[in-house]
Order: sequence, then C-alpha cells, then structure tokens
Amino acid sequence: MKVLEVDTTADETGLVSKAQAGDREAFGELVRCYRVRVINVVYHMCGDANLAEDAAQEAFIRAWQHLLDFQPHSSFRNWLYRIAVNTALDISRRERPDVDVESLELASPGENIEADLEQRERSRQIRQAVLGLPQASRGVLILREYEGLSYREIAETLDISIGTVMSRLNYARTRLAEILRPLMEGR
Amino acid sequence: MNGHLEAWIDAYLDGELSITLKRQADAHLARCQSCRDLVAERKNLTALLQGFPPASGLKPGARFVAEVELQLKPRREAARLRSQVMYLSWQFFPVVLLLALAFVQTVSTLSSIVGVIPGANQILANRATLLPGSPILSIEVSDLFNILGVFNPLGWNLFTGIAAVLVISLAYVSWLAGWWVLNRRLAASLG
Repeated sequence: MKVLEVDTTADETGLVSKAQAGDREAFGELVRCYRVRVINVVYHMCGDANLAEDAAQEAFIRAWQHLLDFQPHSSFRNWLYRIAVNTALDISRRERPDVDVESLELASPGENIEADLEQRERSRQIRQAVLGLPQASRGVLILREYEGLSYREIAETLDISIGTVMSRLNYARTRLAEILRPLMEGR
Repeated sequence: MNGHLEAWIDAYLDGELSITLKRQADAHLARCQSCRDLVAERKNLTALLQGFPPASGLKPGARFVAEVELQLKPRREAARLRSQVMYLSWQFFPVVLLLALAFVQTVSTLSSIVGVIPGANQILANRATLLPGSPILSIEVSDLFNILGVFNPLGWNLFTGIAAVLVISLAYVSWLAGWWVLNRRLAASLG
C-alpha cells in the first residue's frame, strides 16, 4: 500500500528551522506535508479514522511544543512518527475506539454486494488481528508494513535496538500468520 | 546462520540481511521445503495486510492544518533563547572540564618543576601567606588549604592534583548522568 508521497526533503530543514524560530506558517507547511502519513500511522495503531484525525492533530501540537528539543541532525519524519505512535497509544488508553467498519474502503462498492460483504469481513478480520497485537509489536509492524521504514529507522523512531525491532516484527508476523491463516488459505 | 530461517525470515524478506547472510539464506532455501513454505506464507501475509487500508473520509487538508494552527500556543522568544543558551552551555560543559583538566595537569607539572629548584618552596611558602583570601577563613581551613597548596598554585602537591582530577571526574560523571536523565525525560515528555 502506498501512502501519499510528498516531497519533504528539499525544504524540510529550512521549514523546521523556521518553525523552531516560531514561524507558524512554516510549521503549517510541515503539517501539510506529513498530515496523511501521521494520520495513517495513528489510524493503523487505533483503528478509528475520526479518532486518528484528532490524535494526529494532538501529535502535531505536541511536536510544536517540543520542537526546540528536536535535534537538526536527526530525521524529522522519524521524530514525528515517534510522537504519533506515542500519541496513538495514549489515545487508545484514554478512549476505546469504536469499530469504524463504514470507513473501510471497498473494492467495488455497490456493484457486487456479496463480494463487498466478503471484502468488508476480510478487512474487519485483518484490522482486528492487527489491533489485537501487543502495542510494542504493533508499532513496529505498522512502521514496517504500512510506512515502509527500514529496521534502522524503526529503531531510531521507537528508541529501541535493531535486535528488538527484529524480534518484535517476527513475533507480530508469526502471530498474525496464525490468526489469519484461514484467510490466507482462502485466497 | 544455523538451521532453519525462522529467526531471519523477516530480515530476509525485508532486504535487511547482509550479502553474506542473504547468500546463506538463499542456499538454505534451495534445499529446505519448510523454509520455502514459510517464505510463501510471509509473502502471502504481507499481501493480505494491505487489506487494512489507509484512513478514508478525512477532512480536507486545509481544514486540518487550520485547526492545528488554531491550537498552537505562541512560543516566547525569551524562552527560546534561554533554551538555546542552556543547550549550548550543556553541550560545552565537557569542554570546560577538559580545559580544567589541562589546567590542573599544567599546574601539577609546573609544581613538580618548582619542587626540584633549591629554595623555591620556601620562597613560595612565604608568598602564600601574603595572598588574599586566607585571612577570611578559619585557621583550620586555612591550614588545610595551605597544606594542599590551594592558595599557591605553583606549590601544589600530589594530593592537590589528585583531588582536582577527582573533582573533575566527578563533575563529568554527574554530567553524563544528567545527560542520561535528560534524554529519558525528553523521551517520556514526547509521549
């Protein structure tokens, strides 16, 4: 799955510097660049689109508050992902997300009801399986599967070792393979 | 890499193995059906996980950004400058300690040179009593400082040098501990 790709490398350093100096417009530009990615990280962590938008906004506000702590030599994207993951975990603890089945995308809505229902049920099972993982493993899996981060980037983002990334990812995928085996066999 | 690929399977499929390990994994896969099945299952799982699509029905980007900007609290310039000054001071603290260590080493070396010059110690001892500072201290403390040679840098003895290095080491260890605590607090605050 490809999330919306945004060219964030060219002016990112300049935007971050300006935002650190208090430039709201520059920070707004960073929010615009990373909005979809941050929402999707939070969404995959908590499973509720509405909650994900609120949590993403909260993550950006936290980022603004702590922007002076950001070290320019590190990756802004990974720093932001870290805040997003932590915010998602906080939100998940605070509020129990509703099952947001309606927000799931369907392959061909309206044309084949049976296929739609089957797709919907499949998506629900996959989402339930991912959301059922322990938080630590879920965070690693989401950053790898849905955001395409390398092991090193995940380690930097979550402040864990690469060995821990490997073991958590291995656990998450093995667990998901067990849970989703009936679906995989039916493909 | 010994035995089957269970522990390495994810790194193998994610392209995170070194060339050597990947060759070993490929060689093992060529002769192991169960590991080939595992690879197929993992690939199948990765494809299946794409069935958890990204969030849809989001509010327009401009509205999202505007809502975030409305909630941003203004940052004070003074706070920003103070934060930068604190950060720079913190960063340069080890450099200051290094300079202090160099000073101590230099003084200790000069003291040892002075120690071998006949009569030099007596002259320095007489001068030390004239130096300001000692009269305001109690006699005991003043005597102790005189023994250590604190008021007379060129008369520093072995104990003074060791004490100075110990103090600098202690300051450095405290700095390291402070650095670690600060990083932990920062990580926690981001949560």
